[in-house]
Amino acid sequence: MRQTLALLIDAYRDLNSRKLFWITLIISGFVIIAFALIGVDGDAITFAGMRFEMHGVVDPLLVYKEAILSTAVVGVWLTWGAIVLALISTAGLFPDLMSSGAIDLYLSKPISRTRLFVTKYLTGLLFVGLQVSVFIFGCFLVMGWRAHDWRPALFIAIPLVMAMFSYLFAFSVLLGVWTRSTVAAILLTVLFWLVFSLVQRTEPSLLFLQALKEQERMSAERQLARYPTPENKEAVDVATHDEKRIHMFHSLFYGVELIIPKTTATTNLFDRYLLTKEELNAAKSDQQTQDVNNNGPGMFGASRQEVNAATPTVQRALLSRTPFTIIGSSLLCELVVLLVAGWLFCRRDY
Amino acid sequence: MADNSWAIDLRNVAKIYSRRVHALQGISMQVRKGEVFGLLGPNGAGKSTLVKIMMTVVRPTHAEGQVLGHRVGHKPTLARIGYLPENHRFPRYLTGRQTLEFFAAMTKVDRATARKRADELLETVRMQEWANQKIAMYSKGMLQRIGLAQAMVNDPDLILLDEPTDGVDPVGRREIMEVLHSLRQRGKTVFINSHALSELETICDRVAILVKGQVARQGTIADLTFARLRFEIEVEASSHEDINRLLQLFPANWQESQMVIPTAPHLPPKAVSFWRGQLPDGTRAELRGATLHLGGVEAAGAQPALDRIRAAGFVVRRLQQVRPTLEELFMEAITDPTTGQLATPGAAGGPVRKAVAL
Repeated sequence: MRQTLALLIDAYRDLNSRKLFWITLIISGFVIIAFALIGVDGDAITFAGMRFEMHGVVDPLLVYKEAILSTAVVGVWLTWGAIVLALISTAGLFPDLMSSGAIDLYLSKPISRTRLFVTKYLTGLLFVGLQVSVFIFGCFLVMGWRAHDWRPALFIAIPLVMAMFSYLFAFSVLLGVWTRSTVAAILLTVLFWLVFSLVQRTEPSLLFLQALKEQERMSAERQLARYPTPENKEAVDVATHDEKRIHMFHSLFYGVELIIPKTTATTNLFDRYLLTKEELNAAKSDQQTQDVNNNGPGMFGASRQEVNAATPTVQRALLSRTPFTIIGSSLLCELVVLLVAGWLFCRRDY
Repeated sequence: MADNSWAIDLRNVAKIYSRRVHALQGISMQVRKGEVFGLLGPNGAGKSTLVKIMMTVVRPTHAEGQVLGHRVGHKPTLARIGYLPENHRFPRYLTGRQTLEFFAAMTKVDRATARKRADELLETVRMQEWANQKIAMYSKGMLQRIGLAQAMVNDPDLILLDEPTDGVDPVGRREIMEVLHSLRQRGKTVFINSHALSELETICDRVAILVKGQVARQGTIADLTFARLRFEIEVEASSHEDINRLLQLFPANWQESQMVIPTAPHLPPKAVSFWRGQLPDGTRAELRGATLHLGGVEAAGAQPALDRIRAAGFVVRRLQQVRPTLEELFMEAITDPTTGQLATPGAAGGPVRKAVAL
């Protein structure tokens, strides 16, 4: 316990000495100040003393929470900007530890390599833990003050963002242990992150496309039942073939997404906790109303009606992915990555 | 059954890197409790690897024996060992005092004791004035002093020091030597890796010389040097004729050879020719320039040779009984006796070879 405590204090001193830690904290402060300029007053959103009336079209509190807090403040700054800075700050943790002359001092003490590895990993999470906690506490105060909505659910962002960071940090640690290079660890981790994001953004699109193709096939089948002509038969065959191909691609991406860390999906869970069921339904019905009222063309060659029919199917499928599945499978991947990194760290000669 | 008198009792320690670099080739080495032991060797001989194996930084390919009564690699034993690695890198964001307290905590020393020891050790290594300054501001010598204090912060029974005086000025070196003397007086075992042979000579009870991952010499400095005790008779002889007369004066199977001798510390050693042979009574003899060296001979044993030289009309310029320095022992150990060439730096890269006969 004495050793663990010493390592934690050491990690705090290390962070304290890094300029980037304070730069991140200062930027977070500016983001909170900017957030505090926005408020909810009756049926209006206020910004720096100006009022923007909603006239009952949308709930201003919902806009405040979903569009401003969840999407802009947490979604952009906390899960992208702050995480990038955190990755840069912590990427050198293991390469520095493993450098010649430094590692000797640690390994020559009565502490096992495994424990040293795990403790150092946890101290890396301390960076994000401190940053996110301070930031979310600030957001909680601002939201209570400016929107008169004191919502403890906001604090769920702390474990969510930390979980998301921990996935990436695990890769950073593996790459740092493997290459012993801070720069390589940063660059390759960001590359992995981009790949994960790409997969996570492509998979729902493919799911949507699959649902559209299903709608197309069903339309073609109805048409064939009504008019059994060779053209309609061919249209059904084409739609079925397309649906199968899209299904195959979706299955492939879904399979990949299952095993990789779900960074985006994890932070998107924030909405589920921030908004009540009524607010979520209201948000969805607003969207659906907009869709139904929209008489413009559909997408991917599908009609507007087919798009409208496919959307709820996709939303249901996405919402059926439980936090347990999303975070659990991501943590499992993280565990595997950490086991490999830990194995490399423990078996290596220094 | 372990012998309790050994602080370090290593047998057959081997380390092979990447299946081809034989850093250590079956090292056996014993260090008594309470003694100061010096490990010498050229660069790449395996000295640091051996220390790192004892400190669990490097995993041995094979190792038997014990350190402080426990098998090599026993982690809890490290709480009783202090270690100063070569080219150490302390966290730059810590102050000297924080560094000592941090590494004390890592060796499970309680906070109050750690603070007390940090104060004492900062005074011992004369770093009180810099105790609250960041390590980043320290010079190499200051870092070495803090490193030494760090190695003692857990009040260890055994202290392993890898190049402890590296980068330290002469005053600092003397102070470090004083610290090591005081450690010995307190019954601590000190194991030093160093190139500073003159310093080791003054402080070490026993030494081992490592060459290409093998122990080439091991023993007390007195034992090692006594075996090479010699009597030197320098005569006035400047011409080749004089040298030939001297050679003929002593019937021996003279063979011309070459040896490498150390020069100034900053200059490379140089090779010189000499004659080597064995006198009829079995005495080893060497003629280096105008000086006759008689191996293993006391003053009385040198008298017949002296009489013969004087009878031949040579003028004796100097008579001296010589005990070789540690540096000479070292140079001899790392020189191939057949070729007279110095051992090349680095570990053995080929198949494991048999140990050189001592």
